[in-house]
Amino acid sequence: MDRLDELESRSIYVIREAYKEYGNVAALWSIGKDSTTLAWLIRKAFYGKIPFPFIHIDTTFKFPEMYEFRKKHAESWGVELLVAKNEKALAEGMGPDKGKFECCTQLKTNALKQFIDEKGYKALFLGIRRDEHGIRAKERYFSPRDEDFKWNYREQPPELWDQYTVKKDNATHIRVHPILHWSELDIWEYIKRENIPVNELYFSKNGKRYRSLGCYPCTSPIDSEASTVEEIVEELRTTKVGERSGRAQDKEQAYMMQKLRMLGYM
Amino acid sequence: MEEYLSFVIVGHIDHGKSTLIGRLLYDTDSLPEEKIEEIKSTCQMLGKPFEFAYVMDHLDEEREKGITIDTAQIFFKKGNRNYIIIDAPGHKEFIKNMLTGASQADAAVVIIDTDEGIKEQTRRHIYLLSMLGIEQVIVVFNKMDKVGYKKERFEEVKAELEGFLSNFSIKPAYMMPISAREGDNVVNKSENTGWYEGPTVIDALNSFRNRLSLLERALRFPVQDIYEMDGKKIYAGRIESGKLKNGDSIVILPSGETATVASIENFGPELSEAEAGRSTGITLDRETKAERGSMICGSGSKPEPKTKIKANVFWMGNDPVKKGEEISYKSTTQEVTCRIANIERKINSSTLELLGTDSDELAGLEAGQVSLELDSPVVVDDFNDIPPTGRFVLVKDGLVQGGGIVTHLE
Amino acid sequence: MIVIVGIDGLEYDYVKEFGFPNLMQDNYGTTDLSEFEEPRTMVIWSSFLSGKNQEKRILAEKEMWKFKLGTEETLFSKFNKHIAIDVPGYTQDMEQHNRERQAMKDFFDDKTTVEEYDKMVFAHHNKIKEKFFESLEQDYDIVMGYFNAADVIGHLSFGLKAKMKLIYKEMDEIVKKTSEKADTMLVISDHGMKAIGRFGDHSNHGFWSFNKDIKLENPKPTDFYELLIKL
Repeated sequence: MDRLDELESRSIYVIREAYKEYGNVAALWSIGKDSTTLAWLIRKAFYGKIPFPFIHIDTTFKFPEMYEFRKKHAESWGVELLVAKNEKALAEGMGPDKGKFECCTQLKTNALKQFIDEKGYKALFLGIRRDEHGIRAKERYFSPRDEDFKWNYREQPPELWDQYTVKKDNATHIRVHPILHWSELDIWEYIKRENIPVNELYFSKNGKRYRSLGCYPCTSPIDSEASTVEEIVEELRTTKVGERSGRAQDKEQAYMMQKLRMLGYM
Repeated sequence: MEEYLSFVIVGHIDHGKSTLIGRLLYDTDSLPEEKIEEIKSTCQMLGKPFEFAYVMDHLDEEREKGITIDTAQIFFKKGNRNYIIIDAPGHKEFIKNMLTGASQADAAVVIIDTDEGIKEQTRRHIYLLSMLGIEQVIVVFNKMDKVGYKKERFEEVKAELEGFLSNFSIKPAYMMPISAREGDNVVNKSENTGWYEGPTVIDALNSFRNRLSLLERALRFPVQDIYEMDGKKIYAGRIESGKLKNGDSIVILPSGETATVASIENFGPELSEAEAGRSTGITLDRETKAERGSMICGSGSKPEPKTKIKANVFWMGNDPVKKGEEISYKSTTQEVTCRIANIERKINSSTLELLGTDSDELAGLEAGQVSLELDSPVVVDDFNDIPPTGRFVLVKDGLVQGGGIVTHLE
Repeated sequence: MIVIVGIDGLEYDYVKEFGFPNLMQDNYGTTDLSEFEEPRTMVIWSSFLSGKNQEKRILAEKEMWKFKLGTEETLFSKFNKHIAIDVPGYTQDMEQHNRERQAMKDFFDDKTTVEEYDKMVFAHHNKIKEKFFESLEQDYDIVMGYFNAADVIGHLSFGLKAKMKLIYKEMDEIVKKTSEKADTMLVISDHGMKAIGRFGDHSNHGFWSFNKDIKLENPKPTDFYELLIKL
């Protein structure tokens, strides 16, 4: 067994454990590389016959390539795909021009909230990794969320020896993170090994590619010539630029440019 | 694929943990490039040498941004060995986080401020490490620069620690004088401690093995779930020790039923065998009554399932657990109701002071030698032989509140 | 010799947190910028030098950065021999200044990197530093040096505390060296900075410190005119 086998086995163990424990579960699929890897692991865990649905939270602002990918693979994998949308907010004209935070809250968070309330899922699988972003380092494999989707990270129970928290009464649902311990490089190496289908947006076109996929108005590409999985793995091994840096910095950059203009610099 | 040794660093927050981490990264040239690169080039442009103190400023900044409150993983490498530091915080509240992190580690480094001496927390951490079964332990006596690199002071604190540990037959693999701030004996041998002839921290780590190889032990395959598909009945789970292959004769415990392995199910290329650590599924040549929690073992070694267990238990819950109170015993996928029949002795897990014999309850941060009575038999092994079945957690009110290691099989 | 060390963008909160002793001198504190609409570099330095609020006048100019005070308008006119090196609103090198502004634009247009930008700023900083120390060797009555690395670099990197600490250390060392030559020394900044992600925006207070027992309560930049003349 090598490192990828170990990562894979641990993830499958977590997935099977959560399904056994909660029964009424669903997996969030954002069509990105992490959640697609998670989907792949779920297929492996259940021998291709996945006993629960995948949910795509559709803000309607996703890249067209993502919608194509979703359709193609949901079909070929025989997955029950459910799409969650905040119809009300969309009808009222919600979009990134109303402020990114507001837009994400309405079209992502609330869309999910409404969906869960309706369907009553006890647990959700998410493709979050610890090394992605500061606050994620505090996550657990099984993490309860309360009514307001709030997460009390200081009060987290211990996860000792692969024994995960069982039901907590005042949680509306438990979030399960089977690939918590995978790094970005691990994901790409596994994709390479398993030949997992990957959205073409991750590959370089005209010197640019997307390192992470969000909604198209709020995601920007990085400079890269990597156009195959092998090249991406090589690029990751040698550089360490933050993965999400294409997304968060735009907000701050826009603010700074405005300020500098006001101060007479630009 | 490369090998990794994961270790946890435990110790009082002021005893120099973050400096040690910084020093390990710096001296092995493993600093994450991005932001350090900017600091390096700024130094160059200002005509200043790149100093270790700047690395610490950067790591402190990361800490301030809240990145390392909980267990986080830091990677570095030296030569062709890779290391993962599981950074566990030292604060009292975060004992739970420490246990989660430490329970995943192959080894541990305990850090002590040689100037300040041994603190309550240090004692508790060492004890907990032994409770978690971590045998590969290095104790570093840090801040030697503050005590003038004096051999006497090192020997003094070392003796105090050894005295404390002798009560519990805990023997660290190495004890060494270091200064993380100045770089003595962490990666590079120090000239300031000429009287010390032992290894550096990195050399000591290099001598440790990662994850006990459980391949050679007896088969323990706890059933996690059963899937019925395409007319097949697949017993799914993760092999905790030993190996399985097609045609093997197995026995299902505690019921005692026997069967033969008909196939190893894998979604992907066909496998004819599976080993410890792998999540897999098998089919048997006949119908059985096996269910989640059943333990599949080789028909050669047949452990006798037990209902009475003697163990070292530590309690983490806010409310104490009482003798005779109904709780749950969970070990791999086995879960049965049980109760603490007797608390022979209990100690304060930090001072290790004896709190009482034949007590009525075990409170938070207390540890004890207890007898457990289980309502149904489970497969238990000597912790030093097969760790996964030699340790368990105790669940009360739906939460994991205690953990333990089996000390005695009757 | 009276020496004014002008450090553009020096943030009080950082000086306090980092605890650099030379920057703090004997007495230090914040300056009150409430009378200004926006903490603009040109406006504050010009107001400091002339003892009068120059905001309206400067904003009325077509090109703010081309504004220059005449010597008789500045506090230097009250001294015999003076030199002010690269000070905005008086003796600033416009070519360098324009280069910096262009580089900033280029960065936001994705045409240049932080590293190239920093390189250019530090090269200028090192030149100015040399000139400044040379002047201290001569017999001026009052010398004013002006260092803008903290501000210019800060606009793109103020959020990287460890990096900024290095720059503040450099400023601290400059002040230390200066203290060997100066009888009275004032360290002053026009405004401070606050982090926006990794970038830095101007904050609403400046920084001052004196090496004499002069205690001030949140002075305005314009207050220093009288104060310095009296000394």
